[in-house]
Amino acid sequence: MSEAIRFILNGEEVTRGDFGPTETLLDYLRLRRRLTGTKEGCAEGDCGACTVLVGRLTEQGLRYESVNACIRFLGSLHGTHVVTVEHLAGRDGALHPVQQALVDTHGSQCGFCTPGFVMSLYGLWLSNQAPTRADIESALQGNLCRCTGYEPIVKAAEQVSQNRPSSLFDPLERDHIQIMAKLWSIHSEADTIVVEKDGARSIVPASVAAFSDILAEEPDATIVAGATDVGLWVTKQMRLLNPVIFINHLTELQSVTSDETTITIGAGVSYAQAFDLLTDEISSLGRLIDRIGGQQVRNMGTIGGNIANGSPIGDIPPPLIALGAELTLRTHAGRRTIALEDYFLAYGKQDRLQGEFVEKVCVPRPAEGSHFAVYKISKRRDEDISALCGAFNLTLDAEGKVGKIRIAFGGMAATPKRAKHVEEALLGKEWSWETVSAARNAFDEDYTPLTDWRATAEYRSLAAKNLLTRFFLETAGAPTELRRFELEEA
Amino acid sequence: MTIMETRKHGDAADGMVGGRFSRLDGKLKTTGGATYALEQPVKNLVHAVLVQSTIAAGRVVAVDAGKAKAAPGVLSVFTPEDDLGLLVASDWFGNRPDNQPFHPLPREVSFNGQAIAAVVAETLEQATEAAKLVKVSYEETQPVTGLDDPNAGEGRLVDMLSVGWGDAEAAYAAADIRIEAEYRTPREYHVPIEPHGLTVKWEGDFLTVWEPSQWTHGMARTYAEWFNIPADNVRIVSPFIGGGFGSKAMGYTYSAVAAAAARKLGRPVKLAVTRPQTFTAYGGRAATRQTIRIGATKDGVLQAIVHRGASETSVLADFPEQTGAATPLLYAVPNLSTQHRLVPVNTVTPGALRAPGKNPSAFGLESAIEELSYAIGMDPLELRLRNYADHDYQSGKPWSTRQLREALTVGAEVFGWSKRSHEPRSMRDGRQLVGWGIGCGTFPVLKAASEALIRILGDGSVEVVSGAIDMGQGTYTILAQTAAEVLGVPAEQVDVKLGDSSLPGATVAGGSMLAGAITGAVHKAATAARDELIGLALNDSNSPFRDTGANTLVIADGRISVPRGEGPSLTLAELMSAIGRDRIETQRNTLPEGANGPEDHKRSWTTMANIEGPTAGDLSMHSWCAHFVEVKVDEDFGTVRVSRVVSAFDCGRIYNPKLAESQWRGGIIMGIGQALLEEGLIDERFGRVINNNMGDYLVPTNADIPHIQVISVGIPDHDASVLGGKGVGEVGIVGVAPAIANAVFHATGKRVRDLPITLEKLI
Ligand SMILES: Cc1cc2nc3c(=O)[nH]c(=O)nc-3n(C[C@@H](O)[C@@H](O)[C@H](O)COP(=O)(O)OP(=O)(O)OC[C@H]3O[C@@H](n4cnc5c(N)ncnc54)[C@H](O)[C@@H]3O)c2cc1C
Ligand code: FES
Ligand code: FES
Repeated sequence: MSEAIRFILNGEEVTRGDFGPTETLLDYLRLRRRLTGTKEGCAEGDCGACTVLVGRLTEQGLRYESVNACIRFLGSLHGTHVVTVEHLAGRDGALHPVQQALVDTHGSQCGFCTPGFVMSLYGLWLSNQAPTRADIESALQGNLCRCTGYEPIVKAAEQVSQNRPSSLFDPLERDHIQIMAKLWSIHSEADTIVVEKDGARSIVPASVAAFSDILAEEPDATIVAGATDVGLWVTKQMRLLNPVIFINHLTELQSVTSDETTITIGAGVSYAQAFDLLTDEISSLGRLIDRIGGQQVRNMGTIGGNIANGSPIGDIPPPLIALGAELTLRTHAGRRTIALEDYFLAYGKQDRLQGEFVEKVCVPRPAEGSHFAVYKISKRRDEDISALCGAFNLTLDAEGKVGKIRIAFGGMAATPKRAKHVEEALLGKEWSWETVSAARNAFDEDYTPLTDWRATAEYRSLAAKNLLTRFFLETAGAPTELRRFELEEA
Repeated sequence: MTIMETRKHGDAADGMVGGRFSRLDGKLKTTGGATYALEQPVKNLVHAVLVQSTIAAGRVVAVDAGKAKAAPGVLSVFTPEDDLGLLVASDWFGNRPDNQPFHPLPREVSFNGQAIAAVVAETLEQATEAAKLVKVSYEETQPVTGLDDPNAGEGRLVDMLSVGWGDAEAAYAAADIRIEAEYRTPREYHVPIEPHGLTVKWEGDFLTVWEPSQWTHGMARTYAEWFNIPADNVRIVSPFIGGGFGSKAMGYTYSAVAAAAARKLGRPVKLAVTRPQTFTAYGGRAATRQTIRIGATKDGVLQAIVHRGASETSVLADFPEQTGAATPLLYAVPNLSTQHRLVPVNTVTPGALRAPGKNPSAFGLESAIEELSYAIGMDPLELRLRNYADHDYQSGKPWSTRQLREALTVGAEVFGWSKRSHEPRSMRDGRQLVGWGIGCGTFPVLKAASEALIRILGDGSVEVVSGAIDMGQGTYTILAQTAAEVLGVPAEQVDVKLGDSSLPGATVAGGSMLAGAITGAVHKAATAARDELIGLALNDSNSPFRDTGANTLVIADGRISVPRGEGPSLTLAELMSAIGRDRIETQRNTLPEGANGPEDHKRSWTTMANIEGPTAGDLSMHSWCAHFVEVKVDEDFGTVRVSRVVSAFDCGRIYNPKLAESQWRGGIIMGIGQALLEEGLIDERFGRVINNNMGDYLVPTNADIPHIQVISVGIPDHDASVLGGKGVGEVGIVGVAPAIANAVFHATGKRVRDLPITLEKLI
C-alpha cells in the first residue's frame, strides 16, 4: 500500500499525501498553488469557469479531456496530467493560437469565463483537427458566458481550427513522449493508495479486485466515479464523506464491447466514451448523451454513476430500460444480474446490497427493423436537467401490428419507470393514429407526475402523451427523424 | 485647445477612435494573468464566511456561536451582538443621515438570506465548517413574500415617477380602438460569472479593498463613511471585474462585515460570497407588474396611453424598477398618464440590472403596441412608423439625434420583414410554427464629469491614468484609442491604468455613461499634453524644431514633424530626449470652470448628484434600438427557439465597433434569457429564493443563441458627448423580451404577458 498520489501538474511532477477526500482540484490549484488563472464561478459544474484538462492513459494513448476542477477531487487524479491555462502560452509569452483567436475575435469581454473557454477550446483543438460547427457547440456547451453573446467564441473556435501551425510550440504536443513515459512509470507501481488526513481517508484501489475487497470491508464508503453527482454533495450540500473510494481510474470498468445481440457498457464508461461508441450503434441514444451536462460533465460522469445514483430524472435509465437492459452488480464474492428497471425500488432507494457495486450494464441491440427513440425535454436546451425524458422501443410484426413495445420515462414518477399501461394499450394493435390516440390516456394510469420548477404535473402528463404521438409520426413515415427536436432547424 | 476632427467609424482595425481594435487586455485575460479581487496575493490572510438568515421576517433572538468558536482555526464569530462601530454611509446621491449607527449584521430580519453572522477562520474550509455550527434562534413574524402576497397591498404611489400630459383617461374612453392588458416580469438576477467578494487589509487607519467595482471612487467614499475615516484613507483596487451588469457599483453589507472583521482582528480578511449567497447578498431586478391601456383610431393613430405599474422593493429601502420609464418616450401620443407604485416585501433591496426601468417598461409597452396592431389588423412595423415621435413629448424638447426610424427601416430590410404574413399561426417550417416580432428599446444619455491623467514618457510611450473601471465593456481599449488619436501615436504605444480609487476621479460605470464621460476627460487631457508637447518642441532651446519657423507641428504615427514641410521629423522619444524631458504630465477633468474645487470633485466622483439626465439641456438625448426576432415553436412541447435576430442601434458614434457590437450582443442574449429562461423562484412560505444557483437559475448557453446581426445606424451626437457617442451598454437588452413575446404570439396565437415564456405557458 502506498500513502500518496502522484500526478503531473503542467510541467511539474507532484506527489501528495496530505489531502482530505473531498478537497477539490480547484481549491488545490487556486488556494494552495496560487494558479489563479482557473476561475470559480459556481462550484457545481455548471459554468465551466474552472475548466482544466486532465490527460490520462487510455487504450488509444494519452487522452486529454476537459473537466470541471470545482467538482473534481484531488484523490481522483493519480496518474494523470493536469493542465491549466497557465501552461498554454509559449515560454516567450507568445499566445497559443487558441488564445490568440479569442483575442482576435473579441471572445473575451469581462474575461472571467475566458480561461475556461480557452481550456475547452484547447481540449477540442487537441482532439479534433477539423471540428464541425456541431463539434464546436458540443465542446462549448459546458461554458457559460454572460457578456459576449458566444458568437465571437464560436468564431474563435472556427478560426483556430483553420490555423494549425507546427505543433512544436504546443506544450502538450511537444512534451508528449516524456509525459507518456512519466505517466507509465506512475502506473507501473500498481499499489492501492490510501491517503489519510485528519482521520478522513481517500482510497485509490489498484484494481477492480482490490476495489471489491475494500468495499467488502468498508461497505459504508462512498464510491466516487466521475463525481458529477458526488461533487455537488460536497460543494453544494457541504457533506463530509469518509472514506471515499475513487474508481474513475479503473480501466477494467471502462470497456464497451458488443456482439450481435448485446452492447455491454462498463460502469466506469464516461458519457464521452459512450457517445463515441453509441452514436453509431444507437444514434438516438448518442444524441441524448450529447445533451447531458456540458462536455466537461460528459468527460467525467459515468453511465454507471448515473444509474447507481438512482435519480428519477437521470437521463440514462429510461432509454436503457426501454431497450431491456440488464444490470450486473458485483461484490468481492460474486455477481448478480437484474433487469435495470428492477434496480430502482423507490425514491432514493435502489436494489444495491452492502458491498455491492455496479459493474456493467448489458443493452440488447434494437432488433432489425425496430424503432427506437429517446427524447429529452428541458427548459434550457443544453446543460439542463430533464423535465421529462421518454424512450420508446417498438417492433412491428409482419402485419404492421405492435409486436413488442417498451416505453420508459424519467421525470414522471419517483423512479425511472415503464409505462406498462400504455404498452398494454398498444400491444397487438395496429400501429395507427387511432391506436396511438386511444393509448395516450393510459399514461394517466402509469404516472402521476409532480409539479416542480422544471415543469408542472399537467405539463409533464401532456408532454408525455405528445411524445408518444411524436414517436408515432416519426415511425409512420414522417420524412426525417426529428433530431434533438427542439433544435431541428439548421 | 486643438480641435480634432472626428472620424467616421468604419471597419478599419487600427487603433484610432472608430477602429475595430482588439481589446488591450485580451492577452492577460486569455492567459489567466488578469487578477481579480479574490486572487490578490495578500499575506497573512484569514477567511470570512457569512451565515444567512433562514426566515424572511422577524428577530434574531439568540445566536449560539459556542461550537463554532471552538472549532479548529476559528478566530472569531461576529453576530448581531457585536457592535462593529460603523456609521450609515450616504446614498448614491450623497445624502446621509448624521451619525446613525450601521449594523450590517442586524437583529431584525427583513428577508430570507440576510447576513446575520460571519465566521472568520484561518482557512476557508475551517470557516465554512464552523459556519455550519452557528445556531440561530428566531422570533418569526409573517413575511410578505412577493407582489402576489395577499398582504402585499397595492403599494405606495411614487409621485416623482408620475408623468402625464393631455387627458389620457378621457381620450382612452373616447378612442375607437382600445386595448388593455397586464404585463409582469419576475425577479431577475445579474449572475455575473465572477461571484462577489472582497479582500480587505488595514494598515493603521488606512484601508485597502480589493473588490470588483463599477465605481472605485463611489465605493471608497462608502467605506470611509462606514468607518468614519477620511476618504483618502481608503483605496479600492479593481483592475478587472468579472461582469457587473449593475451589481458591483456599491459596497454591500458583507463588504462592511469583512472590513470590520479585518479591523477587529488586525488581519487581512477575504470574504467570498458563495454563488447561492449571491442571490440575496444584493438585489437583482425587482419583480414588476403593469397595466397598459392604449386608445387609438381605427387606422392606428395613438390617442392615449394610460399606464399603471408597480414594482416590489424591500422593507428596508426604496428601489423603484420604473415600469413607466420607456412609456412616454417611444411614440407620439397626445395624451398620456403613467404612474408607478412601490410594494415593500421581504426581499433584499432590489438593485440596478442592465437597463433598469427601461427594460420592464419596454416589455409592457412594446407588447401592448403589437397587441394593438392585431386589434386593428395593421402590420406592427407600420404601426410603429405611423406613430413615430418627431420630438420628445414628455419634455417638449427636440431630440438631439434619433435614428429610430432608420433602425426600424434598416432592421426590417435586413431581416426581410416585408415577407411576413400578419396572421398569427400563418408561418410554418415543417412541424414548427414560425413567428416574427419587433421590439424597440431606448436608454437615456446620462452625462457626468470625469478626470484623467496623461503621461508622455521619455521613451515616447503614453500612459492614460484614471480611476474609471473596465468590467469588460472595453474602457482600457477605447481610452488607448482616444489617446492614440489625439497624440498621433499607435494605440499599442499607449498603456492604460484603471480601476483604482487613488487615481484621478471618474463617474460610475453604469447607465452607459462612463464611456462618454471618460473619453471626454482623456480627450481633454491628451489634447493638453499634445499642445504642451508641441509648445515645447517649438520653443525649447534644444528642440530641432525651434528654428524651423513653424507655428505648429503635427504628430502622426508616433512622429512629430513640420506640417507639409521639409524639416526635421522625430519620434516622440527622440524629441523627449532632445528637450531633456523624461515625462510630460497633464491632468484634466470635464467639470465646468467655475465649479472645479475639491467639493465639486468629491460630489462628482463619489456621488451621482451631479449627473445630468437626458433633458438637462435644451435637447432630449437617448440611445435607440429596434430588434427583429424570429422564433420557432414546437407546440407539442411548448419549446421556443429564437432562430434569428437582427437588431439595429442608434448609439451615436461608435468608438470601437468590435467592442460595441459585443456589448449589444451581450445585451440581446441577456434579453433572450429574460424572455425564455430567467426567473427567481420564491418559496411562498419562507420567502426563500429556491433556484439560487446556476444549475437552476438558467441563463442562456451558446445553444440558446442564434446568429445575431447587429447594425449601427447612429450618427455622431456631439451634444451627447465630446466624441459623439450616446452609450451602448444598457440599450441592447431593452426591447428584446417583447420582440420575442411578439414573435411567439405571431407563431402561436398565444400572448404570454408574464415572463419568462416557459414550456407550460405554450402547451
Ligand atoms: C453540470 C451538470 C449537469 C448534469 N446534467 C445531467 C443531465 O443532463 N442528465 C443527467 O442524467 N445527469 C446530469 N448530471 C448528473 C450526471 O452527470 C450524473 O448522474 C453522472 O452520470 C453520475 O456519474 P458519476 O460517474 O459522475 O457519478 P458519481 O458522482 O461519482 O457518483 C454518483 C453516485 O453513484 C455511485 N456510484 C458511482 N459509480 C458506482 C458504481 N460503479 N457502483 C456503485 N455505485 C456507484 C456513487 O457512490 C454516487 O452515489 C449533471 C451533472 C452536472 C454536474
Ligand atoms: S466553477 Fe462553475 S463549473 Fe466549476
Ligand atoms: S466575458 Fe464575461 S462572462 Fe464571458
